[in-house]
Amino acid sequence: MRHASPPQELPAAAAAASGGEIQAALAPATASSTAAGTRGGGGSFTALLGLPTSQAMELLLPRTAPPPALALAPAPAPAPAPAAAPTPTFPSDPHLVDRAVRFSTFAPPSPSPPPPPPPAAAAAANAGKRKAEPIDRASKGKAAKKGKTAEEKPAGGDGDDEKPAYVHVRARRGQATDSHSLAERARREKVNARMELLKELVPGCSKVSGTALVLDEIINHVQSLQRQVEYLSMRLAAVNPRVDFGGLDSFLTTECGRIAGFNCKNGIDLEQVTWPEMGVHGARQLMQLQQQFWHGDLAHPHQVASQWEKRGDGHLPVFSNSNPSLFGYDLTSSGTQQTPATKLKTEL
Amino acid sequence: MRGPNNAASSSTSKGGGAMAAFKQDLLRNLLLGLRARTAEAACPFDAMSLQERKRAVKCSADVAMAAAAPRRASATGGRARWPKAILAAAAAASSSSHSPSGTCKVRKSACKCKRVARRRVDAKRIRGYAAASCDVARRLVRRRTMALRKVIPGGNAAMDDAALLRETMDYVVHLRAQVDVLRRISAAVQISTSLRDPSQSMAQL
Repeated sequence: MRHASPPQELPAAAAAASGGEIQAALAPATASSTAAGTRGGGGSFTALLGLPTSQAMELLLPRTAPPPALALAPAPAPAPAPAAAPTPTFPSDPHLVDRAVRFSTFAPPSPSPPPPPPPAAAAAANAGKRKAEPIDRASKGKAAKKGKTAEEKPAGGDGDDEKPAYVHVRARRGQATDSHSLAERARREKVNARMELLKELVPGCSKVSGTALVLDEIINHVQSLQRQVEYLSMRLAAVNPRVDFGGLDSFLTTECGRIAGFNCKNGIDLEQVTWPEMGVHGARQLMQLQQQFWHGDLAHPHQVASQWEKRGDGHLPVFSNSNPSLFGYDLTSSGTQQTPATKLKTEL
Repeated sequence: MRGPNNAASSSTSKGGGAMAAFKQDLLRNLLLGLRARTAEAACPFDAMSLQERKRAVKCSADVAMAAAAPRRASATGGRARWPKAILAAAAAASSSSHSPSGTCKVRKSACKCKRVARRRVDAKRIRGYAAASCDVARRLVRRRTMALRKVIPGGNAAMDDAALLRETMDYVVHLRAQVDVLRRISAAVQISTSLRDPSQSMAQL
């Protein structure tokens, strides 16, 4: 992962968020870069140099003079406690620009980077960074080994699988800083973050510690869910001979749902009729129906049940006392049906 | 799971606002698929055996879930891969004249994975060499990762661990929704059939 290495060893070598004093002594640019790294934000560019904007611009524009870069070094005071950089791009940009400055002899100088658009500078400096990489690593490696602490900056934009151009990771204290281990660590962090999410998702995983056991639990959970699907589909299949799914066609394909005429029963609210047309009418009516259904408006239930009946036979039995529920488990009739299912499910 | 509280919670949305649309899509797809399957199939629904019906329902449910999933994924960004895998498997299965591929595979692979894991561990003990604990842990993790790949549809594709875990998360969420929808459907259908024949004493599963 060569392409991922440059930014890694850059901040890695820079290290030194809190050990700023030592860093300033060790490497010229590291202190400034760390200061910039810790401050982050839009003002980091000038904070990097510790100079007012004009002077910073002056220093950066020529870009052929290492001495100005060295002059930058002692300027910023050691950074305060490292603040978690809000975005990985911002802190790194001054790094990149700074490095472009320092290694301008090796790298093509980036075009004048105005402070306001750091991304532009970063983009331009990135090209220069690659070439400066080998030289960097030597010096930075030494600095890193001598360096003390480092912040850990997660890879930018975690959560999706796209690989950003640069993975901004810093070496942790006492850990190897070569590019491979850094990339490895970034990958591991990603995997661990997702394991955490999975642990929350899968019930009963929070107590378990250790990747293998958690994976075991996840596999068991997925398999149990799949078995539930099979069991439920068997239940549906068992009941099915009486239910003719062809009758659903009229409900599902009709757009407006004005198939009340199709129903034998009169006086059916369109609201109930549109229950099957969920994709067409959206969740709103569905919820209305449900709320009506549950919040005391028991005049509808028998009509709701009749929807199912129509599919089967095309005629509507009339119910007076029963409360069929399509979505609830807590009616006694459905409850009795449900508990054996849940019992069986738990046995599975 | 009784009482009006649960009723209210279950009535406001079919299990979480974020998944409500998916569940509705799933339900619709499922019903459409079942209808299509029974309508165009040579054997009507009644004529199929229980196993065949179950398989048909399950395949329809899986395909419905796979078809309904991308609607959510495209909105949030970053599509998962398992829907395509399910659809591909279903297409292959349907083209190969209804060979019982889908339902049996899961169980078989699951058994196989566990068996493989156990066998390997025993072999190691027999050989009797002490491996470093971290290596053992790594090996176990890798074995389980492979098992997970077999369980998750489309997990065998070239994916690193992070992507696999993400697929797993996505798949688990959608599986739960599918189970929920299926449960509701079966409950509703059972109620409807019981109400249709109130006099008969139906065998309640």
